[in-house]
Amino acid sequence: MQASIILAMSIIAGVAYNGFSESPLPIFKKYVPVEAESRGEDDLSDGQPVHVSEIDIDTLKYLVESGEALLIDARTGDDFSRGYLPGAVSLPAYEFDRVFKEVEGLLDEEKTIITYCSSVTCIDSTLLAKKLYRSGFQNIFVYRGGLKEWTELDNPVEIPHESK
Amino acid sequence: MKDKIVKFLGSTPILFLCRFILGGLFIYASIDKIVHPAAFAKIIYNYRLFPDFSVYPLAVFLPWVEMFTGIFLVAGIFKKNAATMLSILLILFIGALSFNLIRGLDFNCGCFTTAATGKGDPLGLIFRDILLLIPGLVIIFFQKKKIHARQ
Repeated sequence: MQASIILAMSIIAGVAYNGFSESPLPIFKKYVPVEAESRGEDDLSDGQPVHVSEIDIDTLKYLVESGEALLIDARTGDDFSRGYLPGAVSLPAYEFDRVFKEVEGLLDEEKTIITYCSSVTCIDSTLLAKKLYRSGFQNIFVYRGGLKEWTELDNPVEIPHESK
Repeated sequence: MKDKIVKFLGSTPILFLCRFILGGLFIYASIDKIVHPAAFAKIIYNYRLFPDFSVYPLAVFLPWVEMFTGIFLVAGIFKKNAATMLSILLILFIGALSFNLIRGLDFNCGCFTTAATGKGDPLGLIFRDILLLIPGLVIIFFQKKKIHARQ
């Protein structure tokens, strides 16, 4: 009886919190893994699968140093506050709908956009690149090596003065 | 000797400490998952133990079970039931971690944080959960039920 009271409270609180959140989860839908999305199952409305190209660290450095590219960090805000690639903007892939409005002004459609996340095993950078593509950005690349490869090759990491 | 141990474990300070440690940890663990439900859904999916249709409901509902049960335990309401629920959750976590350790799956624990830094040594995580079972079991076995005096 007591356990069912706790469970009932949890269901009510969970559903209410989810309902009022800015990006609620579709509780009654099946979970769609992002791996499936990256295999092209999330085609655009015109039937074209979203394909995102990858970029290596040397090309990334060249594009960023020449001012032709903008780096976007796809990890969570907490991860970003612990350190990021110099000049990168934070846009967590899983909070895209909420954060995109805040950073939209910083994104220049003329520039190349390069997304990255923790390492080659994470998928947030690919997910973010697809979301940006759907939002109208064309020139997007994914830096698969991510922060791990970047730091392993002794490149500098920026740490914000104030954690977000 | 046995009586002394029973008396010690059943004493108010020890029981309060157990409730505070176990309940407090579960409250703490629930906050990041409540704030980042989508990231927690991804972690649940990566355990590869749950059917796809249950991933979102679990991500929405489970952190609140942890939160409320933790609050009830710390506040001293439904103490035995709350301790039993948290111990069952710990046993399920130990089971899930052990199963994936045996399968050799690389996954994020999602125990206290939904960030990628939540990855840890699975053996260490199992050991930690077993340690956390101790305060739960102490409460279950040594917390006396309130005896209402008959008039």
